[in-house]
Amino acid sequence: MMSEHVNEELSAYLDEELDAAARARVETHLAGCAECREVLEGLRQVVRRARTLDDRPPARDLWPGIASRIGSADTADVLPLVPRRRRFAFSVPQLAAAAVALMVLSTGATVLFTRHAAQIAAVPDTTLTVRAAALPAADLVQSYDAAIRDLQRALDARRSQLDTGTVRVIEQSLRVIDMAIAQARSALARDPNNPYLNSHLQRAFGRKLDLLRQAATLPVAS
Amino acid sequence: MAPAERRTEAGLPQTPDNLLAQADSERADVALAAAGDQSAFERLYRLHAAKVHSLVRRMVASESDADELTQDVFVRVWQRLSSYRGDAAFGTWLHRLAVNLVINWQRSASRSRRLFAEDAEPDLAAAPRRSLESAMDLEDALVLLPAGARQVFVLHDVEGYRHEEIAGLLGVTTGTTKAQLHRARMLMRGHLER
Repeated sequence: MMSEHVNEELSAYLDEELDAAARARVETHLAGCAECREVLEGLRQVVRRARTLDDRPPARDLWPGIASRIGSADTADVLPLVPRRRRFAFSVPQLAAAAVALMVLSTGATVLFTRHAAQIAAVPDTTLTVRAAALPAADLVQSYDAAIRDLQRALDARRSQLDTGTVRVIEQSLRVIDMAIAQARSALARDPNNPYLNSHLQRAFGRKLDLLRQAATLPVAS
Repeated sequence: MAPAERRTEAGLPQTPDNLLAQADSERADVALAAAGDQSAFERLYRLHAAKVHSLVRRMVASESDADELTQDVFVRVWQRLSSYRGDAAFGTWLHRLAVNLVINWQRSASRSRRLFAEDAEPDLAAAPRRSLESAMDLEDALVLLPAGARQVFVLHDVEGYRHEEIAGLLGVTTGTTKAQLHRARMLMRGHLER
């Protein structure tokens, strides 16, 4: 006489979730029951198809709605060199060393202003903006390189005073941005007048300056 | 029939070189976006929009809700990028955030009360008409599932979550998720073989 159908256990059987005894019971039943074998095969097909579903993009472009909610998107030609503090969370004790931070920041900013005064326009509250169209690419790269070198030197001088975990995170981020800069430079070598690549390179430089200036203002580890 | 060629999110064949290139480019864009670069964030959106929208659409069974929730997901990602530590791949982190957001949305919309009710029935108005007359594809059949069974099916069979994870996310027992999964598969089998 055939045992009771095992329909309710077939998903668990398929997913290999049954213990040895239950598994043996299901297999014994399946060997003699075409109906349950057919159900099992149907479930197997459903699972197989579910695992190979292709993703498809939304029917309409959702980016404009996202861009409008996260802020204005038409800033591609302006590089804000002001540290974006909302992206970094510092503790109260860290803020206590603000005097040191300000001193280092001033040094970096002074170097920037004096060496590249003709190329970089300063506005009140130490806000710097670099207009993409204002500078030839080679000069711009030179300016950024020099500014980055100076800030890097300032950071190196303070490295031993900073929290090692923080330094590790900073270095990891710098490596990633350096990679983006290297990629953009390499692409620009092949296509020097490409406006997108120029803009992308400038943004990457801007981010690196931001990050270095953030790092240079970090307080010493307590 | 030959299996479909697997592709990266950028639409390139999944060769080791393409996967590495995508990962490098994505890491750079994540760092740039975390520093406030909207163009980098738009590239991340373009890279992941299809995957996120497909996940959300399958979970909520509504194109318009999926559009709105996908936008919510990316706005939330933008707001939380500074908390992304890189412990998991960015895509995995984004995916988790999307799943949690959808589940919370369904909870806040008081949908959970009927999500796992025995008599919970699908919104047939959302089902494609042709599905009632001819063989359906899997996406069509998903719409016909009751909401609770659909969520478990999508998370387990499409996305590869384990029962313990799904139970934790939904606040139910693994016994419930296993029963819902079997129910979903049986209904899907019926729809697909009709």
